[in-house]
Amino acid sequence: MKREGEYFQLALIFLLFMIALLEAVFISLPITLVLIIILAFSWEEKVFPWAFLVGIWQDLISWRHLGIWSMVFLLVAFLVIIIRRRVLGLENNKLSLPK
Amino acid sequence: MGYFLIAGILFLLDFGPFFTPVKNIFAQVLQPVRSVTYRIGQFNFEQLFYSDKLKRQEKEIQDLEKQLVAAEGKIVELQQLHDENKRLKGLINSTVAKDESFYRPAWIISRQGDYLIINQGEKDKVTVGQLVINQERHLVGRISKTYDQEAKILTIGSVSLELPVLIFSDWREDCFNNLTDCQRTRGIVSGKVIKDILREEKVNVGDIVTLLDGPRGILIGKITQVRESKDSIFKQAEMEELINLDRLTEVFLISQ
Repeated sequence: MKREGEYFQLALIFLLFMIALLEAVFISLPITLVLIIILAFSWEEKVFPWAFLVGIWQDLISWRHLGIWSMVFLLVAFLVIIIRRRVLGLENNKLSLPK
Repeated sequence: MGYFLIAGILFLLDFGPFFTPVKNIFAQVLQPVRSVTYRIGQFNFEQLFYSDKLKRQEKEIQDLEKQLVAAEGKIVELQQLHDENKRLKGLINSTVAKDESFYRPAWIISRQGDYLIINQGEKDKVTVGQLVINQERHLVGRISKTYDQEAKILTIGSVSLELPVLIFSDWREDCFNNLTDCQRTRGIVSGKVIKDILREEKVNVGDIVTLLDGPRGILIGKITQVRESKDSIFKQAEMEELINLDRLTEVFLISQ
């Protein structure tokens, strides 16, 4: 079961990089950013290294200034985690239902 | 925090030339992938669901459209030549300058907003300012930045691209058949707007916009609206481009 979860995570990371490639080549919508937001919401801190790497990847493919997209993705991921914890109150055990 | 710091350091270091070789190698390695991905993106997926008859008709329409735009380019080229001949008529020793332009083909490998990226760069002697056209001799844009293996084209329709243009009357109505001087006026195109058109000049919807500074017969667009303004000297017009950037895969760089 644990292994299946790891495969699923790897598939999502692969998807993230592929979407970044498509976005840099011909799609003008910020789909990668949306995916980062979704991943940040569910993975929390685990999303940071991938947000960093996919940002560098996107900057390299699209000939942008190196580091820009990494910083944007990291900042957005950070904000999403903050919102999730502080505003929506989804911090561990905060909304756990009584047994 | 650590990742953000590293990204920040990379950002600052990229102001220097440190990462340029890495970027060039990366671009070279990934160029085929980007090229294939871009072409997949251009594929008309709707056609998958068409019947054979519809596909044939679609292809016929596309072929006819191509022939039509090619003919339009040729007619404008001839008209420009005719007008020029007329102006030079009195000068016996003068000859019309030979068009010494030549066209170098390049593949588009990606698109980013107002920019297209092609698979030729400084190593292919691509220079900033070079004009880029498609196979029907419609202006695609101008090279705005070059890298070792790639170059960025600022496309027509972008407000950052300003070009001097000539406006011709729509030859099919009254101009070309009578072999009169079809050239109406000149202006400067910026985005979809042509500005600095003299007020007293007659410009109509449907008039053809061509490039002023460059080889003859390069079409840019058609006038869709003429705007009367309060300006006492100039008026403006709106135009639509003749190219569809979404369907573009190959372009030609003009060298002179």
